Amino acid sequence: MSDESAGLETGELLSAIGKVRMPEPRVLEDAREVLWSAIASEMLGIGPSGEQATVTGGSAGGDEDHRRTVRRRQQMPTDVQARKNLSDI
Amino acid sequence: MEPDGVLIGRSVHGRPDAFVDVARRHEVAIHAYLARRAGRQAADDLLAEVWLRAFAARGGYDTQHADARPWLYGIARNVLREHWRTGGSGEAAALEEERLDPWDGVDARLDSAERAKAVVSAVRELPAAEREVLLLVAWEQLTPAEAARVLGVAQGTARSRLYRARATLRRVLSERDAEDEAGVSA
Repeated sequence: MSDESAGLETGELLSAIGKVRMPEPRVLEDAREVLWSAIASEMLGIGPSGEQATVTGGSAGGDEDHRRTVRRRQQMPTDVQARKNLSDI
Repeated sequence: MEPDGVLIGRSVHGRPDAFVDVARRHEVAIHAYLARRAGRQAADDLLAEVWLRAFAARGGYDTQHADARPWLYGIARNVLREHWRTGGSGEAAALEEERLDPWDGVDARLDSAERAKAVVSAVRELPAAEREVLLLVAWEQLTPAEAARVLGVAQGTARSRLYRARATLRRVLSERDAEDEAGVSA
């Protein structure tokens, strides 16, 4: 066996060994939900300790849009619904 | 499709929700990265932590980089290290256990499962720094330059580690083949 063919075979084996099953959709959604919570906190200007802070970036009108979106978002249980509401902006 | 850098830049400047698109784009890849190294259950548990840290750190992202994967893998790597420090099993052990996960599929594709086991064994024996680069390239399909970004090392360093890892693997597997042939003919 040449070095080259040995290398190719090893590469294929490595790839095969690294194969993992797709995660459950629920796992991905749950992780996104956690991210949404962080986004909502930032958009509402709430720091990690719960204190109110200044929202940075964007126009004043845009910030109000975001706050409205976040308020709606906090009432929604799923990421799918969140996406739908954001598309209304 | 907008580059990750554009989305992250937007998420920094008034539209934090744009970051969700980055997460959605790479969530399967990041979960796989975690699962290959720490197992599926740990990956399920740690994925959200990666998003939280990435979101908190996005202000420091160089938006010139269109593809955020190396940056996200780097964050996932830090999350894994903390996971291992606080009681999770080590990377080498995870590699040994994780190979059981896709094993049925591997068996179907390979002439000999023994050879795949030999590869796992050889990879585990590599120095950690070399193994990391090798697996980022082989499993995450990164270029050596992207692997260097993940690890925070110079590109030349990543390339030389990859070269050494491949050379060691070839040597170890060739030696094993020679031993097997000698055993058969004896």
